Amino acid sequence: MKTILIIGGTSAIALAAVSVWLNRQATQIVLLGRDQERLIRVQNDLRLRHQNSRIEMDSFDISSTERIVAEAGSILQRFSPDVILIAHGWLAPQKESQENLALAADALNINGVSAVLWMEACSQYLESKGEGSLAIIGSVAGDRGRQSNYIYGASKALVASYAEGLQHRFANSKINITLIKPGPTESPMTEHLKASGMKLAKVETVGKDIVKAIDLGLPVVYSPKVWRWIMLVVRHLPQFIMHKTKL
Amino acid sequence: MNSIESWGRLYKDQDDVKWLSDPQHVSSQIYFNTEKSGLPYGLGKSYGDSCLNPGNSLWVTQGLNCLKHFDPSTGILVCEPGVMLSDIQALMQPLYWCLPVVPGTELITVGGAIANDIHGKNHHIHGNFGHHVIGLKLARTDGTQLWCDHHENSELFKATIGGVGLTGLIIEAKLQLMRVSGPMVEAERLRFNSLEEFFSIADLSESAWEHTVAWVDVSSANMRGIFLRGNASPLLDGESLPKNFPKALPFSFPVSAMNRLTLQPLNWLYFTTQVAKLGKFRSPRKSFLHPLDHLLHWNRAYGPRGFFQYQCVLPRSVGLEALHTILNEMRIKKLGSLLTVLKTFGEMASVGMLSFPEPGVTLAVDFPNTGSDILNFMERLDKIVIEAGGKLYLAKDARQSRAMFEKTYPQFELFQQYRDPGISSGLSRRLMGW
Ligand SMILES: Cc1cc2nc3c(=O)[nH]c(=O)nc-3n(C[C@H](O)[C@H](O)[C@H](O)COP(=O)(O)OP(=O)(O)OC[C@H]3O[C@@H](n4cnc5c(N)ncnc54)[C@H](O)[C@@H]3O)c2cc1C
Ligand SMILES: NC(=O)c1ccc[n+]([C@@H]2O[C@H](COP(=O)([O-])OP(=O)(O)OC[C@H]3O[C@@H](n4cnc5c(N)ncnc54)[C@H](OP(=O)(O)O)[C@@H]3O)[C@@H](O)[C@H]2O)c1
Repeated sequence: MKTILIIGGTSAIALAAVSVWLNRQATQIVLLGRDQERLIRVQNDLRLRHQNSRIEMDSFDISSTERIVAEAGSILQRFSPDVILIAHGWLAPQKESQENLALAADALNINGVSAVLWMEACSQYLESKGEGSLAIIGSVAGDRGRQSNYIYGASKALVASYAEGLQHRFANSKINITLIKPGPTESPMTEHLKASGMKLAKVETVGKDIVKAIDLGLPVVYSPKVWRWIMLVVRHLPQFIMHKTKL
Repeated sequence: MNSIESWGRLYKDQDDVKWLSDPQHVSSQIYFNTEKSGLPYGLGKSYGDSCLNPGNSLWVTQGLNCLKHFDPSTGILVCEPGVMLSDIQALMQPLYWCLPVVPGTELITVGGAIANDIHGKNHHIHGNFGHHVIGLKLARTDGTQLWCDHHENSELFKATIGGVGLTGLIIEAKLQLMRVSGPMVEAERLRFNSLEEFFSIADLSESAWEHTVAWVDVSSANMRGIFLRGNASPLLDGESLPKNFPKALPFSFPVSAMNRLTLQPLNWLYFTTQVAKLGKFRSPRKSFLHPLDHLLHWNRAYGPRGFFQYQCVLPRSVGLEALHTILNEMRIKKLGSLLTVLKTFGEMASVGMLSFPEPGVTLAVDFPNTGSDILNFMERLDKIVIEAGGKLYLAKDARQSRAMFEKTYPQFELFQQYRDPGISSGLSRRLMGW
């Protein structure tokens, strides 16, 4: 049975990908996350819905530098996954983080530093194994700094260039590094956006795109796909136009 | 895409919406708010204002959708309220278990099924959804969480079953599932030429057939129609279940596609195609019990003004006569409905204080919203229903008067004592004062 490890095992987007995998074939899923009670809730549900698969979980402070440095390697050895999806993240409130640097530090650490440390640990593990897939959820917000969301955006940009570096490093190997850049998606993270009436993608769409991208070993995938074209435009907007917008 | 509405699409106000997704936070999210009341919202498959709370808050339960426990030896399932009935059915099918009671659509939540104490085509055998609820956990807006069943907090339990969301937020339900022989239905389609004949077929079918339901051609003078009955059945050799993909009506019709011009031909067409298929047939349970689920959002065919569903129950003693009067009024007014459904209810007393089913017969008709003439017409029907000792289904109601409600739901004053002071709905303000 193939083993898939999810870091941020309660993420709605990651769980949408998990249900695609489980509906396809019996799989061992390992959910790693910070909150035991929430992990057990999801584990019970998946166990009941997918009786032929194996669902494991472990609670671990996944965004702590010290813990990752000390234990990530042994966790990876213990579960020995074929596929790893790094999904944890926090959409920090921009205004508050500008005013309170502690929040900014949290945002940069959770989305940026902890994610790339996991990426490095996973790379070491996959390198010793010789094959496997690592997928990371970045964001369209990482494509260009915008006044409304640059702290979160910059942390996701760190993930993006890190992924690019790893893709270079593993270019001629059986190791695939995939970066997924979702647009705004309906999940607990975006409840406030939804309440304000914003149009959001379905997690099912993003989940399917993640699985497909990993299957095909694609380096970068926007989800839903239109975001590739939207971000192409946003990235190339001349500064004098960009600065007139409230984006 | 994220629009919050009820199935009848009669209201356009946007409510203040909270998406619940974490059971640990639910109590703080719904905590009593002096300015705004709240109301649980499942999938909005109720037709009227029972699942809406204009100007106040809605608590969407779709994210509380985890299964908690299932015992395959007893068939007892524990789950969160936002789990869809379709998910339970699909999951249980290979295990030969199923929900004992499902409504005409399985695309609803467990919480919604309890709060309307819904009924299905097998009421005469298995009663309502509430008959199979062993217990539930209720979160109230004062921060408390209470377990309710037939022994513990039993009055609150009876108020919550069929309590249209007004007693608290159900956060967990313990359900008794039922054994089923397989995913197919062995069915039969019969024609009847009068309401008398409908009743006699219904009576004869009750002991040997689990599911019964009928459709009436309201444009016909004698009230002809089609009677469907069926029993669960295993897959036979060579049979397989189709993979069906629901198709959504991709857009709203600019005007109602159901109007005086189209109804008669549509009824005629339906009747003729059904008559051509009289006799025995086999069908997947899903298509037999939920024929409209293949066409998501069919409610959009009624155009932007939406529609009313008028569903009443009439005691058996006067049922025939009252049905005649109602259907004749409709025929004379040329107020037809494409979905005119008749179903006899069995004798089982409902659990809930405000549950709808009563021994007798229920009629459901759809009316496009054409404004005051249809409202006046439904008031005429109300008189007939009150006179007959019947009542209207709250899940479908958008307009009955408070006087009618008070007269026809005699337990409503008792019910009021169990309400959560932090909860109200469009319906509760219309019918119960707050
Ligand atoms: C095509 C179609 C066919 C139907 N056929 C039938 C039928 O055959 N028989 C029948 O009985 N009904 C039938 N119905 C009606 C439908 O089954 C009910 O309206 C059902 O309650 C809808 O469930 P929902 O999850 O959409 O809840 P909603 O409509 O969103 O809410 C219904 C009520 O439940 C309350 N509620 C929801 N969740 C909770 C919770 N967690 N805790 C407390 N209260 C809660 C709400 O406040 C509201 O009062 C049909 C509806 C449609 C659209
Ligand atoms: N939703 C969007 O619009 C969107 C768009 C682009 C990118 N993304 C990215 O997609 C990924 C998944 O997000 P989602 O939409 O699925 O949101 P979600 O359901 O809210 O999931 C967020 C996940 O991150 C975990 N998490 C949050 N803060 C943490 C912390 N301090 N330490 C450890 N874990 C923490 C959460 O764990 P708990 O359950 O314990 O809280 C949860 O598992 C994130 O990387 C996000 O940045 C989302």
